[in-house]
Amino acid sequence: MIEVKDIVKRFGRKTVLDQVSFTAEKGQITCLIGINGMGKTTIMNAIMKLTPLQAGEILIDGEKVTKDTFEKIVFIPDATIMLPHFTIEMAMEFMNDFYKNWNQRRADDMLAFFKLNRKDKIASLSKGNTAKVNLLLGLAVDADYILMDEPFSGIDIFSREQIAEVFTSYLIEDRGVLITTHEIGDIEHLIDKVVLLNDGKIQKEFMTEDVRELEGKSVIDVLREVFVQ
Amino acid sequence: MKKYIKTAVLIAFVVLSIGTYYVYTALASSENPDLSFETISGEEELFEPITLLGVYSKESMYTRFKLNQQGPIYESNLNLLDQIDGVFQVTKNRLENDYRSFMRGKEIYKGHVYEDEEQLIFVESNLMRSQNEDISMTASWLNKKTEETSSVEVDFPGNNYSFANIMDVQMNDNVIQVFANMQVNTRNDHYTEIHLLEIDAETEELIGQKVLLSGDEESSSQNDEISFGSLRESVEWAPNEYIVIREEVMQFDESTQSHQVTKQKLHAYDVKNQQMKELEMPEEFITRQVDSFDGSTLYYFDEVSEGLKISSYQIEEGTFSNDLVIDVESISYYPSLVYQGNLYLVTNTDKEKYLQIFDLSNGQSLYKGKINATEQEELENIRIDEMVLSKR
Amino acid sequence: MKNFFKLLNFELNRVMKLLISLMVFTLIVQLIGVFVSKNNYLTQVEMLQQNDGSSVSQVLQSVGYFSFDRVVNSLFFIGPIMICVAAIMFYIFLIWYRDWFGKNTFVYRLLMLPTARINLFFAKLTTILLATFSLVGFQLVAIQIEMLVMKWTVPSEYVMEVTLRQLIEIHPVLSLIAPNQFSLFMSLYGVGVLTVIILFTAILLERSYRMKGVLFGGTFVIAANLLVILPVILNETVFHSFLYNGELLLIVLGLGVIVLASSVWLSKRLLDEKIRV
Repeated sequence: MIEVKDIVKRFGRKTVLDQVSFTAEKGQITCLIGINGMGKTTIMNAIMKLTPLQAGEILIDGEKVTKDTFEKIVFIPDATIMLPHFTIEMAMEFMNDFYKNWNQRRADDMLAFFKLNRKDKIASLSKGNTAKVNLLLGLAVDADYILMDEPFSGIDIFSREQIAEVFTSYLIEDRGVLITTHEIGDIEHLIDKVVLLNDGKIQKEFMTEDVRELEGKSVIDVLREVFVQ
Repeated sequence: MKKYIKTAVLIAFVVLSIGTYYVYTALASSENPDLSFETISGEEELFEPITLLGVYSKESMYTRFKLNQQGPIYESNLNLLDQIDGVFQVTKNRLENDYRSFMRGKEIYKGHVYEDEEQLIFVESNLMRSQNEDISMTASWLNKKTEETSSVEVDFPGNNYSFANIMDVQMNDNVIQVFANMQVNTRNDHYTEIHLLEIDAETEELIGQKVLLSGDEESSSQNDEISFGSLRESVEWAPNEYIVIREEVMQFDESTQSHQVTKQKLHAYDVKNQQMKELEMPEEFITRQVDSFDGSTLYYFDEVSEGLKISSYQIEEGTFSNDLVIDVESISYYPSLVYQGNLYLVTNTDKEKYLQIFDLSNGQSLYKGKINATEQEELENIRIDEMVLSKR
Repeated sequence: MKNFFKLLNFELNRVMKLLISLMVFTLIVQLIGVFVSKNNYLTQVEMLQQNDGSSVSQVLQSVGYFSFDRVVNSLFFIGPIMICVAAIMFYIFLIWYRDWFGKNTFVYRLLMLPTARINLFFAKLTTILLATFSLVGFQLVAIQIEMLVMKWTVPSEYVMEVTLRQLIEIHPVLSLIAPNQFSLFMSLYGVGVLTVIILFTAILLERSYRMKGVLFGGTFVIAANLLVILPVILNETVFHSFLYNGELLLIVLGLGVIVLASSVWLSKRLLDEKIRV
């Protein structure tokens, strides 16, 4: 379980995160939704210790994040984070070099599924294919938790479909996924839990199944209620 | 492993290229020849307190060394820290070693130190005038028995003195005598003066300041310039009976645009009786270089067919004693030292070098030792420049 | 440890191309220098021989021998060394900033690797060191090659051979990059390592606190340097050489170790807690 507890983040005088707390469970897809601002990405960076917090703490399976945690949790940012002159093959080799949990078979599967050429240089790929490589490099690590920042933003419709397909596959199964997006439509039917972030505060945290069954509302309905009033 | 190949090659290249070079230089610097003395006649103990200073140069590399009975120490073989002082600062090293706390913060210059059995005296000068500071001088001394230290600072107020140079320090009857060469600058004149400052070690007070010699009085015409310089004694920090000062009158020659020495005098100050006198000796001896001076006698060397002729002038008596001829087979240049009535000489023949010791009262050879190098031809790369007393 | 070597290998591969270009550049320009000095010299010799009909010994008397120090004192020789030095200085900064800037933000990947982040620091430090040493080593080899070329192209009666050791002894730049004494080499590069560590810490301060970090970094660099040389300055001014050289060295060495350790400690803390992507 990823536990985010009372975290506070300020950039200068501006408070981006104000005592934010929520959890994301293993085996569930948790979606972090916020209309604007950088709060969402900051949370992910904070979980990976890529930005310091002013207060609060983050626990993974009850423990603080250390170097060993990075075998258990991977982060797929919305930009490429591999060296541009690397080929896909070199990137996979790099990952294999450093991650004990790197699963080459899984990587090969995804390579075939996404129809990517392992000899291609990352810099030469289209935006859609770059996102796929990103996804591949993250998901091929046998990690318990996966953080994804805007996996669908700026990507063509066909790539989007392919990526969405990944979410229903064995690649995601049993893992805990924390995802941020503002295009909820693509994956509405996939997500188990929604955390609504507005002005640096948690507005609402709910299980999609509950609202669907008990209140008969879709996620979009809830969003509309919260944000448009 | 294949992907580590470049790194492995790079590291191997670094280790090999730099490593080879330093192994090679280490071997080259350990090539400094080992020097030793081979006794031909006489007693070795005589040169125990002596250290020879010289230079070893080969293929445009050179390193200084000191050599005594124990063998040579080359500067290039010292660690970086010891290289700062080098091997020539024999007296400094000895004093710093023996009187570590007294010597703290003292910079050693020739003529600034006096040492006898009871006292170690050290004069430091702040003798360059700056904007708002008078020139001054500090004498500090250590009573070796009581280990007490004292010091006195002497100021030279007024604007007349611009620069001064400590020439010698002596002690007599518990009075410290500091001989200083002072530059006097007035509005329309400048000349040098030899001052004697007397400090009572008991009361720690300046008890006298005399002008022993003045360039102003000595000069006869406007164009003359007078300079004073003291003769280096064999052991400059030891008690000496006389301080000898050479006076040179120089005249500016319009045709050559340079100063020519027109007249010379030798003055001697009697440390014990506190009197100044001019040495009376034939002109040729006054103008030529003194080869050795032990504080009471001036020695002049001349090569003659039988060896080396030594003329000795006794200051006290004011006369030359009988000339000595000592048995030296040598080409010119003699680093020499007179110590306890014995003359120490380094002599060179074409291929060989000797250290010889003679009794100056009768010219008898007391010791002759041949300097040997691991490879004899290396002796040609060895030059011995100086001899110093390294023990008190 | 294994991860350190992997990172080192990775960083070295990133700088390899630059290193090899610098080496090739150095060799080519210095060889041009050999030819230029050689030609200048031989033109002079020829002029003397043709105009005055001088013999070899007369020529040698008026223009002297041709030895390699004519080459090392030309800009063709020093220029490439200076460029290499500048390149290394520049790379001390580039080795960090290239991971933040540029097309892809590679620093995400580096910071998320399942290894202690201080390994990044040490890997980059070692890379700078090895890069420097490889250039120094290459220069030592290159001089030998250049001397050979000189021997082949200048008639032997005009050549005065000097050894590499003599050359370094008299050359102000060479004796600084590869001093003849190994202890001096170690001391100089020891100071170099400390300097790089201090600069790295300053860079990490900037990367952690950005604008404010520039101030922190600058202060840190000045304070660290001052602390190390403070005893020397004080001893010269206030204490009038009260301390002997050996004592002073021990104090400076001690302070150097303290500065080094605290700089590494601070860097580790910054990397673990304060760094921003």
